[in-house]
Amino acid sequence: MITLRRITQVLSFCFFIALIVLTAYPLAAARWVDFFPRLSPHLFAAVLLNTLSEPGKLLLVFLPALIVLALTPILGRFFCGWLCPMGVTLDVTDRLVRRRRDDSREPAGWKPLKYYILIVVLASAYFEANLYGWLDPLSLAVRSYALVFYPVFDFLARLGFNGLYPAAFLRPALEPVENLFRTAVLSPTPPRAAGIPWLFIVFLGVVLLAFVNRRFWCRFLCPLGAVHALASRRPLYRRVVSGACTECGKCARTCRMGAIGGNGRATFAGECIECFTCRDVCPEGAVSFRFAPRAGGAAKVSLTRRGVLGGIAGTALAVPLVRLSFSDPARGDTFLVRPPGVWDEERFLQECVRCGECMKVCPTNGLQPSWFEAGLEGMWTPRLVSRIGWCEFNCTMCGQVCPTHAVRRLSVPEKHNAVIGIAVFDRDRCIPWAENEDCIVCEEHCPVPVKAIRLRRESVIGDDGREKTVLRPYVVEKECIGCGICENKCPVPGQAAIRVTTVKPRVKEPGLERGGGEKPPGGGDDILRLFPGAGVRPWTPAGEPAVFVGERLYDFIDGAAEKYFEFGFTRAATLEYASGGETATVDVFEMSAPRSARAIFEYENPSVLPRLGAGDDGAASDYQAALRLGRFYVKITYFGSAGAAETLGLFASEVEKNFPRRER
Amino acid sequence: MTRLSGGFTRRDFLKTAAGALACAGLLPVCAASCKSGFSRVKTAHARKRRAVELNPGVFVARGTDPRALTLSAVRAAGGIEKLVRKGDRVVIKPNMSWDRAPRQAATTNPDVVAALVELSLGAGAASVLVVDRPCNEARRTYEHSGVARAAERAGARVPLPDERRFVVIPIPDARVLKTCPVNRDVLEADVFINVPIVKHHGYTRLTIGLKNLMGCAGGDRGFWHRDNLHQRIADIALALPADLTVVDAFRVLTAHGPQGGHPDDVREVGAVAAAADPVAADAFGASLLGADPRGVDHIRIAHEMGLGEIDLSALTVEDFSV
Repeated sequence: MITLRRITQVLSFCFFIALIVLTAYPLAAARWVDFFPRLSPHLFAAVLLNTLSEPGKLLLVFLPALIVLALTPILGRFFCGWLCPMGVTLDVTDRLVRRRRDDSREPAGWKPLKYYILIVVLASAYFEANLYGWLDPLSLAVRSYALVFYPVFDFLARLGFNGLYPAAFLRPALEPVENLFRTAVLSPTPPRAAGIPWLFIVFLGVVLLAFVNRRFWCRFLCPLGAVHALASRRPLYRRVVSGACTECGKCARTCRMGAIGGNGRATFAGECIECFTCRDVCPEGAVSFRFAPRAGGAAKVSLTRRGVLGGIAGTALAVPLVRLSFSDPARGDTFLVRPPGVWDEERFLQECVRCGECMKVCPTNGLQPSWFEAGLEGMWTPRLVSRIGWCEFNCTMCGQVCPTHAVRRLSVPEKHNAVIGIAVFDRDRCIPWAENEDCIVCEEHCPVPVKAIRLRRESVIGDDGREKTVLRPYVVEKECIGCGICENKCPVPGQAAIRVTTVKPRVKEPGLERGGGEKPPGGGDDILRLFPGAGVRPWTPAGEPAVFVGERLYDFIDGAAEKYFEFGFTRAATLEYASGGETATVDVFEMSAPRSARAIFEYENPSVLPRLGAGDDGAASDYQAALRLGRFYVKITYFGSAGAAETLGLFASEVEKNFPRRER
Repeated sequence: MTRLSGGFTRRDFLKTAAGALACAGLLPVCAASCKSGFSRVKTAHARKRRAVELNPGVFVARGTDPRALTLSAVRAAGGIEKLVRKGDRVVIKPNMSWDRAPRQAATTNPDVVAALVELSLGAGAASVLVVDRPCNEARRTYEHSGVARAAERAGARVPLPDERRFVVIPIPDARVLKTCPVNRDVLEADVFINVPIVKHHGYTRLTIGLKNLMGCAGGDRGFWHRDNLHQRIADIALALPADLTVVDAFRVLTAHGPQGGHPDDVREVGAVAAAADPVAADAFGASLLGADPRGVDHIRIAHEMGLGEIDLSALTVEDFSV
């Protein structure tokens, strides 16, 4: 039976490791990779108590956990001894740390500690403090293996391959192996994580507890173990001791769980993990495991009043300590960016079990465990660190691997519109802004089809005192989704000159209407009839009018277009007139409503300008006349040598004639 | 045996000492071997172009099947067998730099690349390698562009980019880019085929063959944009002359390049052009986007540096339907 148990343990562990390796593009086993965290009824209970909603969804998520839990009253606490990857880990490390000592000696009265911990965790969960993510052994195992040992392994493997690479005679043999590794095992980008050593120290701490007792974690601390222990207080399949027992106590000294009392005759309820060691070491063959519902020999692990009160006190302390740590996403860390599919920070902190699957799967390695950026509460939750890796535009893997859907599953189009942050320029360091040299790397990499980073050509005075032009990038706020590729690729050394800052995550509004640029869709060619015809002779049109629909306005008045969109822009048309070598321009903007046109008119023509007696509203300056006609806003520009006022007036009245008041 | 006070016997001491010495001795060896993995080849130099007798000019096939267009264009340019000899190592450089689908016209048409693989292998090439160094995450771009799959199916190898395969070469005749890490596979190829797609580009105005060669460069390319990008493009084209440029203009990207993404910005042109002259290939591509090639600095500079002919009217442009 020991052999069978060991084989099962090895298989379970291999499966666990395989799933961690498979938690990567192309995510061939997307349905399976989050399997281990879903085996924890502890997480199920805690998340349910915390959120108090969507029990159906949670039931489905934690179905594997519930199946295991349902088997536990029958089979006993087999999960801990046979399946738990943390248990396997400890069985191995215990051998390294501690060899053959009397394991029946343990800190007195500590057995119930795990129950008190469970009480604190679940009670805190009810009061919306998330301790379960830190303490669940399956979260701990996935986190440690995915974020500590996998990167270490990846590093060493690369080191090995690189070390052997110069040996040309080995290459033919090595290359296929390396290719296999690179595509199937190693990370696309060498994984790095914030504070790998610290995560390792947490893991190491659990391992080193073996100096006190083997399986110290499982015996005294594990809240998941406590759930299984509760369910297996009177298991049907159990340890039975026959009359042949001489009470030599060998089994009690050997038991890794300290589950045997009474010199070998008694078994502590809920402590035995069915490793079968006691059966094998018994010199008399007095120990057997079988279905024995009514057999005696159970020793109780009783909770003490002091312990329970301690648990309550612990909760009363833990909840405020965790939740009082400042974590208001709206006023917290400027650079806290969550994975796409996290819409509500509070909800996210409740549902995230800190397993690290999302960080493992992230192909650019941009998802990193946070430490205190989201307050103590947010420790080990994922955040996007764009300078390390950006959020790939077409990638939705973090949502696919999240066991509790704390990172929601998004379709690719949903992902394209999931706003997780906003890019902001540091103009003091950005090359075109600070040094007046062209640089377009951020614009080039911006994945938003209509570009959230755009360029405008500006004239500047260079160092030599001469005027020159430079392409300067700027962010179109309503298009930016905060993916961070701009920050990642920014060639400025050190921190990027464009950085993604925090926002309240949201879904981007549907894209603005985009047209081909020539024919306005629908609504006829109303806008074109406003252009003056023969009435303005000797001025004649110098070509055809150009029309800009929706988004295309940026091509027309790049810098100032935002205001137009803000007030409600539909389309614009422009036409140049020529006469005797001089030119005048008529720009017509069709706004979504008369009040939109009025708003842009007021905005661009402050009341200090002399008003013009044309249109519904009119204003004039030395070189420009502006008028509003219903939903149209018209600008006539003439930098003439003489008679500007007359020319502007002539154009204005002709425009108005083309759109008489009765039709407005 | 007499135990010392710490329970540490002489034998223990000897064992430990021997172990420590062995470790100390191995350490530098390990360290050296690990380090040397990143070392650079010192003897590398700019690529030599194969002297071939492809037909001079630009050969443009128009139609509806990218594969057929490619085969016809190459045939019109003189045929692959003029270029590829038995046992050659052929390296093909498409544009698979972005995580975009073929219909978005940000990456080279997979069928065009596959057709070139097929042609090369048919002409007796020993191996065909398809290489790039993408801007988005490589596994995704290779897969989603469709190029890797199509090329592998046709018999090519499409290895993921490997920083160790880049060697720093001097480019003596370059004006700005005097040294550059470049893809060693390209450098060592017997035949190098550049297969760009015609695209708008936010900074260089458009990107065709010459700009596509940037994907053969290693190191920090972001920095290039800061300092004379156009000249650097011409310089890399000098160091890595393509034996044949096949311009994919089946779909072209007319705006928001080089990454695009919006269907409005894609125009179906239905053409594939082949040219031995890399500047002529770009000049033709530019004409498809309605641009004067002389107005695109890197094409003009490449022409001025003697890399090829920019004036389409001075060339044979054979434009035919398939």
